[in-house]
Amino acid sequence: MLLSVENLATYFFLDEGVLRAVDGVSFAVNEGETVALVGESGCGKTIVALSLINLVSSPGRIVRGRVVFQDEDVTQATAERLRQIRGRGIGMIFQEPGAALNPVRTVGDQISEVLRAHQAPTRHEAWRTAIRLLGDVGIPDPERRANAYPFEFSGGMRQRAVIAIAMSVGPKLLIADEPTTALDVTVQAEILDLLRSLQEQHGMAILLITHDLGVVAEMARRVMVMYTGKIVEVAPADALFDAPCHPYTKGLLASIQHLGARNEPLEGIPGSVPDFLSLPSGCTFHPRCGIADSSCAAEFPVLQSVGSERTCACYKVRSA
Amino acid sequence: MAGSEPEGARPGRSPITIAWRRFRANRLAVAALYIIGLLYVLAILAPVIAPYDPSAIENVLTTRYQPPSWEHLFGTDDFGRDLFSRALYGARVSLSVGLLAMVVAVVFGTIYGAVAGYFGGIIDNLLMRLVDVIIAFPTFFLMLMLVGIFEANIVFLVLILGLTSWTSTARLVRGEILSLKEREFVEGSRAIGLPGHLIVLRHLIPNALASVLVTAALMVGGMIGAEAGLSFLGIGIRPPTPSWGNMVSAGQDALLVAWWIAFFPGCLLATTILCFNLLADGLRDALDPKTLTRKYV
Repeated sequence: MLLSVENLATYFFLDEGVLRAVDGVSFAVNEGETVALVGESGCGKTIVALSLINLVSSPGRIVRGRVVFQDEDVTQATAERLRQIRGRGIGMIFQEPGAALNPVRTVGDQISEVLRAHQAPTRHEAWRTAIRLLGDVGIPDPERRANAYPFEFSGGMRQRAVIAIAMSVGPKLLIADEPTTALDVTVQAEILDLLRSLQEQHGMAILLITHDLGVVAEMARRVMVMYTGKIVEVAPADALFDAPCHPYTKGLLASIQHLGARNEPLEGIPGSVPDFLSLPSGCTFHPRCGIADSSCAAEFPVLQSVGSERTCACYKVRSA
Repeated sequence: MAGSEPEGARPGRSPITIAWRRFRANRLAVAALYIIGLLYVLAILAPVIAPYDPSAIENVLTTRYQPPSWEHLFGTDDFGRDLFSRALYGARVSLSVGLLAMVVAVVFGTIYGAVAGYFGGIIDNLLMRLVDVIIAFPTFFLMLMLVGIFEANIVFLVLILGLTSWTSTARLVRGEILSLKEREFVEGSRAIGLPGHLIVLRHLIPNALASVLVTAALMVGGMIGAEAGLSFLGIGIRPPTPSWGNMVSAGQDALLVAWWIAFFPGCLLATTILCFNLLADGLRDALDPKTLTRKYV
């Protein structure tokens, strides 16, 4: 097992109270597999990602749990060890490729800098490697493009450059936080293709964080659904799309617009994501849930096995 | 330049190149830059250009108080010294004190502000409260006091001026760093395992440099003025070493009989400070992308 997250909790200590952004999340990622973490905006997905490399900054803090990456607890690592894990062990790509690059330095310079921070190549070697990496991620004419500044790149090319940086020192796990959300649909497909082919070549695992179930269907073998800082359902991708278990997952799937189904009204989920500072009692989804009854407000359901490789956190579904 | 090719069409056009092209479009700022450049060249070449020894006193009674002429471009003073030569040598003092004091203030202020902004929290709080205390000190009187205690020479003046005016740069840089470090590329640099000092040096400070450059240009003018003020009061550069400030001071008694003694160094001071202000204006316009649209509206 490459990564194992055990009962992770990351809270933000605000003036208004304690915000439980990630509250008791456990999951595992195996070598070379692609796992998706899905949920609406603001459900804690990104905080999970940042917690994995211990990059949550004040007022946020990991308060509980372990993040074991290659038999080492990231939450207990020293600053220097953490710096090595970031990049060499776990790489990360971001939603806004424009914002993820330093505007005043050339793309090639930013890649060679990372190489030099982790290995000890000469300036020239690092530059050659940077050019090769830019070529690997499909940037045409990399020799010339290495000298370009981020603003001279299109959105898709910037995301390719960001991927080149993340891949530069050969991570075992690549966290892709909404990697295609800011891109055009056609470019989205190219970037997903690129991620898949890089995975075939290098064999790294990918943790794909997204709210886009279309992306999930294309990329992931296993899916975890997150709601208000907790994982509510885990299932193989096919099984999840065929027969979602949790009412929230059902709602998510029902809100997808299908091409050619123009006259069917979208169902959506009634209500909105609750305020993290005043979460409903018990199952936090119960006020928006069609099958909830009074017992749902009592306690948050634990994840229970509901089939092979499937777990679901809903008492109503299990008893049904 | 306009219409040849769109900005950013060719890789390798750095933000600096673009800023320079925009700066060049501002004629006033370019003229200011040329004048400043000329003044520095003249100051550096002073020993070569100066027609007379700036402190030579000969035949005082026949050479003193001569109005400007081809022989003495700026006239002579009460000791019969050639004021053009003195102004050239005075430029060396005034211009170098201004520039070096700015460098001291900007380097120190930038490092200080960057440390406060990057670490944040209690370190930021302590460092910035210290800045508040320093700002609350009446700088001018502090300078007067220190200059009264110690012998004023150029190095001392540079340090005094530099170390009493870094606070504005520190505040500016801290603010810039505070907002920059929330930017995604900084989080990205941390996520990819770049060490902290590289993040500060390669990612934070270069992005804050544009506004530092503008204040730096403004500051040189202020520093030259401050040096002149101290020298005018007789506690900066002391005669016979010429500085524009003590030359104006020396001329004030004879203003009615020999106006040229104070007039020329005064003009040089005003021109220099004005040029640095115009330069700063031009830099700000060139470095701030928002001004681009304003020009064409």
